[in-house]
Amino acid sequence: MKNSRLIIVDDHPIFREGLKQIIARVPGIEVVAEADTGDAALAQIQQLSPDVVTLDIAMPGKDGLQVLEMTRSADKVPLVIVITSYDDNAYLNKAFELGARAYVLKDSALTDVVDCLRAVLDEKIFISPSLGRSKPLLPDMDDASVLSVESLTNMEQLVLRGVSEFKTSKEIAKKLDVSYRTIQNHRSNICSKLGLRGAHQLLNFSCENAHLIVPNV
Amino acid sequence: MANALPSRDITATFEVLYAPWDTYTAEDIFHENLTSSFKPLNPPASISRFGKEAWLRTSLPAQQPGHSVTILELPGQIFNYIDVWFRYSDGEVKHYYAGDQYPYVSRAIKHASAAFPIPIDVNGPIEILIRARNETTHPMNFAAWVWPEDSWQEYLMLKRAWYGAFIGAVLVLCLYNLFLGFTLRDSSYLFYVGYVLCLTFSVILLSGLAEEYLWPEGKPAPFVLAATGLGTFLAVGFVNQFLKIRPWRPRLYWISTLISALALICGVILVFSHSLPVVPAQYSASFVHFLLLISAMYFIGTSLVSYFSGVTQARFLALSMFALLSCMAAYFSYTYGLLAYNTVIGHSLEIGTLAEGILLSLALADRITILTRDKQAAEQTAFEAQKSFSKQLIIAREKERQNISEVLHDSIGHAVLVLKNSLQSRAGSLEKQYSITPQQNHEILGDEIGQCGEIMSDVRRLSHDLHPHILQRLGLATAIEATFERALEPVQIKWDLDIDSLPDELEPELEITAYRVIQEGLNNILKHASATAVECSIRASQESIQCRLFDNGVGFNVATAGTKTLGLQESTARIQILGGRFHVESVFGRGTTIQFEVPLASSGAQ
Repeated sequence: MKNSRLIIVDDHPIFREGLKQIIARVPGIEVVAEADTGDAALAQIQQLSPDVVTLDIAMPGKDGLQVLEMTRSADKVPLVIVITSYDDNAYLNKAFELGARAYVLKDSALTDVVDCLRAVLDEKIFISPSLGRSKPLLPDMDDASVLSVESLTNMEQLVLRGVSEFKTSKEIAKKLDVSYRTIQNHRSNICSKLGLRGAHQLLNFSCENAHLIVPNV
Repeated sequence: MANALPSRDITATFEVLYAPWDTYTAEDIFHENLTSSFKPLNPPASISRFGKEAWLRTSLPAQQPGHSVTILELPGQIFNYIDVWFRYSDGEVKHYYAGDQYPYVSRAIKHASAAFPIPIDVNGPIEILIRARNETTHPMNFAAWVWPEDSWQEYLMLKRAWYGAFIGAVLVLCLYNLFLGFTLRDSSYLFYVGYVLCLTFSVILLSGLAEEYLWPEGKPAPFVLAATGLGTFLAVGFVNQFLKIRPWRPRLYWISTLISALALICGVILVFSHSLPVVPAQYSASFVHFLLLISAMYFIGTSLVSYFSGVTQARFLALSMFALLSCMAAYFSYTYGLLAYNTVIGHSLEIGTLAEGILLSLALADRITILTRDKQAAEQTAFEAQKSFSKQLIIAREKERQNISEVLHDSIGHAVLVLKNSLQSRAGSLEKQYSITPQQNHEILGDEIGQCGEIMSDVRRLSHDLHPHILQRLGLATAIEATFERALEPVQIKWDLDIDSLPDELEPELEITAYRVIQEGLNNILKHASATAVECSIRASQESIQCRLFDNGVGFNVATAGTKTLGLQESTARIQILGGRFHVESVFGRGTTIQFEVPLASSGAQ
């Protein structure tokens, strides 16, 4: 199998170096470039079309969230792993809303990143365990899932499918030909029906229960 | 009175003879045949001839009792010496005199202008001979009216009423402006009062009221040109002061002051002497009149130029001097013999003086309005400057905090993170190398790793308190939610957020202000309120953002706390700087509500 190509985006050289050494030990992944600003990252993504990008949020110039949003319009949309020192739920949710596949806290990045890469390459999402520690990633509702999904309207199921396909709200809005705010409203309705909090829980739920969502109506 | 006979203008019936002083006596004229020397007067005409006296004569037809005129009036101007002889048909002669150089008390009829009793002669015509002498070089328009007794009394009443009203109005204007001048400490008003008083004094002198009321025993000297000269000087002083000519056009200021001072000096010289040095003797009075005219022109010109260059207050100045000058032009046209005497023209100086006084008074009143407006504008500017300074100060402080926050997060925070990661790596390798269990491993390095975590969360908290990076990146609603979550979740205070969908592009200043004020409120709740629940709502309309923060804590006394706590003061100031309103309401035991509203700049409310 061809190696996955990865770009590290972080403005701290020491951290980049540490990350690079760890990733180098993971088989099947090759670090092809490093960037220390948002603009440099975007140029490299456009030029090198990497499979995976690790992205810091706080950077001079364009920050990680802006870069993340712009990767969605790249020729080849990379799998983005946000690696940040911010432990706020606000960033976590925003990152997943913008299409990130993983959110890794720098506190434990060097130990988490290997598991994270595996999960992401396996089309799963990943969140640093230290963030999910206080709250379960998903409410305890294994048996209720089918019922829950059925309680959603067709439109909500369409939105949930979009989410499970790692689409951002903007992309779902475009596909369903409605406004961004409408999608945001649907998302918030889905969350309240399913008892989920935040974009990451919604994403996680939709991935785990993708098979329960009815095909496009 | 219905049966009163009309008064009559007999000026045109006079013949005139000019001769050097003391060439003839009245007897000479009555007895010698000088008929061919007399020429018709052809009014209007000035009978002032330098160095000569004018003899005027006419005759009145025989009069019937009950249909007679009894008073001869020479209205308008005041001669220095005026002698009148009446000759009966039987040859008897009666002699009367008036004029400002004769004592007023010896006049046959005590009246401001020259008036004489006409003897009644039923037998034949009465001859009237008048000698008019003038020591000054004033032009003198001669007029003569005859009055029946009843009409004369009526006329006198009207005249007194007119002068009473005139002088009363002038005094009111002067007192009013004098009062304003002292209140405002503005010398323009003093110039005004002096000027108007000089004008009035001139009128009193020219109308003969001076002899009637001031010097009945005889006027010590002719003051009229001194009064007009001083008036001119004060008028120029007034306009220069009022329009602030000196700093603006110093040369013009000095020239105008010199010309008006010259008018004053000439006027004063003419009090003591009949003519001026250097100037040809017969033109002395005209020379002063000329200076007066130039000064008036200067007055009007300066006012107009000022008005058109934006000095609104100058409009009444130009108008007032225009009014006075028009009246003066009419008056001088009459004295120089260009217009015939009539009642209106005889009083045109009073009309002009009143118009001038009232309009200038309006200019001064205008000035108060304008000064008030300017003062308000200046206060507004100062207020804006202060506001803008405070705003800059707040922006600068936020910037500084952001720098500290970033440095803290990036250098210390990252150093701790790198340390923590390397400790974790080392723990991992220890596990592998020595096959120790994670429990044992935790005993070896767990404390250090834990401490790193604690330091890191302190750094995060400090950094975010210093500068809310979530606000900057994710907007107000998210930032407030994150802050509530971070602050209230660990202390188990229930919280409820209700935030409208806010406009996409809120100005950064509004966002940071709203955030800081809520943050300050939240800090106060955590520090003082002992609350168990906090509610926060943000509403957005087209014009403004309204925010409400409520806690169910112990409450406090707003009146006393408001002045002491820097936080509340700062919140109030920050909201006010954005043109908003800030309000705190608190009841002991029942919680506190903070409310504020900030206008959106795009709504144009500011």
